[in-house]
Amino acid sequence: MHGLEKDERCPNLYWLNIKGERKLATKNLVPGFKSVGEEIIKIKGTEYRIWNPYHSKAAAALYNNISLLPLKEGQKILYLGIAEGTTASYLSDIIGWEGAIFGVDCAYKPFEKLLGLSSIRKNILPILSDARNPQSYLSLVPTVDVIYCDVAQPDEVDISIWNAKSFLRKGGFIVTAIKASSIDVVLPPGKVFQREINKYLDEGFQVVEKVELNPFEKNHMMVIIQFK
Amino acid sequence: MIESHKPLNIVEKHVEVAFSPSTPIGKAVRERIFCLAIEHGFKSNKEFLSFLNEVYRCLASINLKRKFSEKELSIIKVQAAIEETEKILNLLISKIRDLYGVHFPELNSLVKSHMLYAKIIAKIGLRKNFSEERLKEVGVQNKGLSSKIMSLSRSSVGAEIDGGLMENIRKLAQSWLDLHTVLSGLKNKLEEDLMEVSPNLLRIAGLTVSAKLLSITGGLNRLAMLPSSKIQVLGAEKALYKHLKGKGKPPKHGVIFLHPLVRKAKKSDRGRISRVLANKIAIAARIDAFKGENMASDIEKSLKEKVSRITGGKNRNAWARKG
Repeated sequence: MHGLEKDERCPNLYWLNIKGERKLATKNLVPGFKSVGEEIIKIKGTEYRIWNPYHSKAAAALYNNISLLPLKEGQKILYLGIAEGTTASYLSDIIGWEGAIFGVDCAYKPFEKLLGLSSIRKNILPILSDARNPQSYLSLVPTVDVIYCDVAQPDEVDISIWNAKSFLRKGGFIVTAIKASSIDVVLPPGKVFQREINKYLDEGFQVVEKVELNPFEKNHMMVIIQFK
Repeated sequence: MIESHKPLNIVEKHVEVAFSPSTPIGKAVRERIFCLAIEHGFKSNKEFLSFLNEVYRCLASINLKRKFSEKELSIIKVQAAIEETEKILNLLISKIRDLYGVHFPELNSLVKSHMLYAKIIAKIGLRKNFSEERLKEVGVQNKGLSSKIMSLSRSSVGAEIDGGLMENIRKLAQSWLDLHTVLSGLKNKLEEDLMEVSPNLLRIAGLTVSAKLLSITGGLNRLAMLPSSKIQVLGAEKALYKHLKGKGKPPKHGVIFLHPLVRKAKKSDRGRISRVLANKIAIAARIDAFKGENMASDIEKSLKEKVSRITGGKNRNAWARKG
């Protein structure tokens, strides 16, 4: 009745048909769990959580036909700028109980909420630390498969590169949501994106894909980088 | 030293090894920590994860606790509370003046001070209760004002209001006064904290400005890292970004405007004064953050000297040319 349709790009990811609209959803890892009051739909005893692209940049990228989001079941993710963990809760749906999300953030306010979230979802591991200083959590984070970076700082790309050098395995991916307006307000967004992507190229990373996040987020771009 | 490609049997041999995570061996352990955990007693990945989860949450709450006990955080929170309380007080007094104005409209323009107005209502109340002694009791010192109020209270054009409503207005005025004492209590606390954290900044920028600067930047260290030109326009981001995009003039001052030196200056001098003030604030913040000495009087002296040069001193023209 909801036209359940599997999305091949990631595990546990589905498209539902709700009142004529196609909506992205993940299979709920913890039945009954809600993060920000999103819709939960039950089909044959399985719960699906609707993933709002306006709340989450990863969902926006999936809506904008990104060809792959490098997430698989059982992967280890380093999440920079995890905040309250809204997006992280969906990623934890995708990677399942075998995977782990190491969530780094230095803002104390949303962290209280994150602590509550991680007590329910055991695969989210909170770290209160500044992502600019990977040395400070070097002993807490193992080698990871993916770095998901959403920190909205002027030196966002540098932050993700420093972290990649310390934590990313060979062949792993960096997924960065570049926010043009927090890097440079004056330059047109296209130029900012180009400049930031060049930073990755200079460091020897490979750009796999880039997707702009209009109309869900203005002046944002999701880039997927591979570490060779 | 164990080679990184050989299997590690640290736990089995019951040898405790301490190593830095950045060394090759540390890297090797970090690479296969999940396999190692299962090799050494954890039943499954999931079990190891829930153990890790417990540890990480413990660590995070300890760090969170440490963060919450910082003085700077308390300053930021108290400052936010003060701002809100001030807003509430202003809203409330305008409503009180509105309500009581029905009964005694002339008092509104006679008593400009909110404090005095609230006191008169709370302690005296209805117009017929007014007398010279009672006015003196609540703090009307001025003889002329007191007699003016008395004569107007006899000949007022205001309507009579019933006792029930008056009682409520009186209570409202009383709670306004109570809230005001809370506000001054908060301000005292803020001053104490600032005195401890950043005495130089407090002396140069004053209570409100230093607290606002700290709450915008999020801490003394960050404030100390900023260039003074940024400090000058902190709080005027909207105008600044508009200017950077090529629309409109650059802002002359952000929250610095609340400083009496800037606010009371002539409009044409404000830009120059706020630049000098921002310079001195930057110096004071840096001394507080990295040196911890009290050098406020020196800074204040040079600040005053520079400001007096700007406002009509001998070298006024020289300054104007420079600016």
